[in-house]
Amino acid sequence: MQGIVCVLLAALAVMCVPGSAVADPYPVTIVDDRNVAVTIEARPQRISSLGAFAADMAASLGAEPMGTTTYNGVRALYLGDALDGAVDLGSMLQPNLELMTENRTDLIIGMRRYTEAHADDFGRLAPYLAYELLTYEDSKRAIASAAAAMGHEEKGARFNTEFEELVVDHAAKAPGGVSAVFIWLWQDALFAYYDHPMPASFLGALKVRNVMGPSPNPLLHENAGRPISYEELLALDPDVLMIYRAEGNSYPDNPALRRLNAVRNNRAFHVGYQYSQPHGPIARELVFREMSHLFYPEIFAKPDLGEGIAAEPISFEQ
Amino acid sequence: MKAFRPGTPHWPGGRIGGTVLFGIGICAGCSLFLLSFGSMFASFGRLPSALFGNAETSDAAFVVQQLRLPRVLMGLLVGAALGTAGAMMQAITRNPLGDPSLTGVTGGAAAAVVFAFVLVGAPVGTLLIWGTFGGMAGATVTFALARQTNYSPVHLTLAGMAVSLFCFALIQSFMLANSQSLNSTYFWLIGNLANRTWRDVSLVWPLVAGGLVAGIVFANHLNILMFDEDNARARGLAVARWRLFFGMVSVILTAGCVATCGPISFVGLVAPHIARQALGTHRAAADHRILLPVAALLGAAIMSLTDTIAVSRLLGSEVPTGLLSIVVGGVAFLVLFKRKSL
Repeated sequence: MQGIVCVLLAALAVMCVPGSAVADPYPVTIVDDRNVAVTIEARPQRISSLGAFAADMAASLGAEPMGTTTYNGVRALYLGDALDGAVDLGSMLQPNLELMTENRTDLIIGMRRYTEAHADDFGRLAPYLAYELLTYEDSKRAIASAAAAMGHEEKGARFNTEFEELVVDHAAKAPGGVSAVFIWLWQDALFAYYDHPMPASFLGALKVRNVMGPSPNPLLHENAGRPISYEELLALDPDVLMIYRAEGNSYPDNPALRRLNAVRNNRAFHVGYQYSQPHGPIARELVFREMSHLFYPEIFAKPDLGEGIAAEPISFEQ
Repeated sequence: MKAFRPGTPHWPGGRIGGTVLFGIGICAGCSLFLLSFGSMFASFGRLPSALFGNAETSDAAFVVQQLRLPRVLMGLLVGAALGTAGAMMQAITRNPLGDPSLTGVTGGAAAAVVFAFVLVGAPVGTLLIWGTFGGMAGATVTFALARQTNYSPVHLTLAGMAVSLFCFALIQSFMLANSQSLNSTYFWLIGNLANRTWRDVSLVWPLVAGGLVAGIVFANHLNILMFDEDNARARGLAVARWRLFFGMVSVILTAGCVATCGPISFVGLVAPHIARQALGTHRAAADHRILLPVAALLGAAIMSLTDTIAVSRLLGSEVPTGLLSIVVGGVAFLVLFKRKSL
């Protein structure tokens, strides 16, 4: 695999080798986002990643997960050959417990809202850690916690510190004066993120105005965004439009989309899988670097992400 | 059946006029609201300039002419089509719970659209064609199954239910076969008037107009079909042929609507009953020459009202029209049921 993903993986893997050779911290007790204390007796070798986060985490530590679920039938393309040997555990909502048993999983990590319902089943197989994975704070907390569970506590802290430095650096260079919105598209229905979920939370860090603004119900943590109409999108008319369409097909040729300034100025982009689950160290950095470029192409260089991973201008169906 | 004519003692002109005025009033009021209020601007005063302004240069004109107007027209067309088709299906199946889905058209159209979207990866713009042909196919199977009994009401109902259930089982299978499109399929299956364009209107209106004209022109035959079979035959009616005719008209009315907007529930079931209720106990309520246009008008009024509530943000944010039609139609159905009007 070429480009920045390869460099990131290699660098992160090299960083973790001395750490793994130096000390064995086990058994370790981790308190996950359910506020449940989970004890892991020995260094996990066969991690089940329910969602992309744990696979991303393992890859960044130079390991390979035993298995990973898919989102809408698709694997995390941005992790490239790091997942070549991983077992397909099926849907994150209903992971294949038989495969997890057969492959003797020794640590299960998943997104809380999608996997917690099966906590009892998981607990019978292996230690199970659940993380919220919605906001930037969730990402930092989960990276630190999962790194500790995998025996690399100091690496987790370093990932967070280095990323924070990157954010500060880009924030200092970002001139501002740009508006944007991050949208999920299902068939022709639009769902736009408020300020708090990643990756929309990066807009503020980059001095970009999210036209959706903050959530009207900040106490509802899961209230990530809301459906908006094409007319509302036209009224908001952001400078940059980022759309994640998880389910294939081309973009609906709605006249409102064509009228948007972002589309007219070639600043409407279809973004890659990593934007759907951006909370791991690799996805987080890829997303942040690419967003910096999309907002300020004259200041931040285009990351070398490769086909299918890099953002592409949206093209409408004919 | 004895004919009603204006001026005869049986002619319930005031009742019909009141119902028509009521239906037109709801349609006009809701349309005015839907055209005037939205994210881009919300004012009755700006509507005339937006309606007749230059859509190339004015955002308000663009929004009204390209986004709001097609949606309003689709609501009226879909409501009228479903109301008329529902009245026809209740007549030919002699079943007060009859609705357009009993022809298998809804299930057929939905299965075809989901198949095209999930397994073929067909573009959104071609789904209308898939849905229309799927609806026709579903109805063809239904009528083929009922043919051996000359399209008797009971067999037609059972065949329609069987085809619908089979189609919805197919939908589940398609979704399981490719879970990549679960969310998109789910959104479509709720049914919605949002994001409809002039392309959708231009494809649907000929089907709806043709179906409405055909249904109303031959509505007297529906009156005769309401008699028992022997009585209808004694009056010279080719019962099986006319049941098939009205069933196919119902399919034509429904297929395009389902294909563009997804399955919209309850309107086809409730609109004819509200029409009968509005027309009162008078025999005009059973005369399909009057009932069909009134059911069409009230179907359009129900859809317009439902869509107005959907976009009004009374519920916090805009919600899919199909979801609200279940609520509005369901409540209306329960009220009718409570009043023993069914």
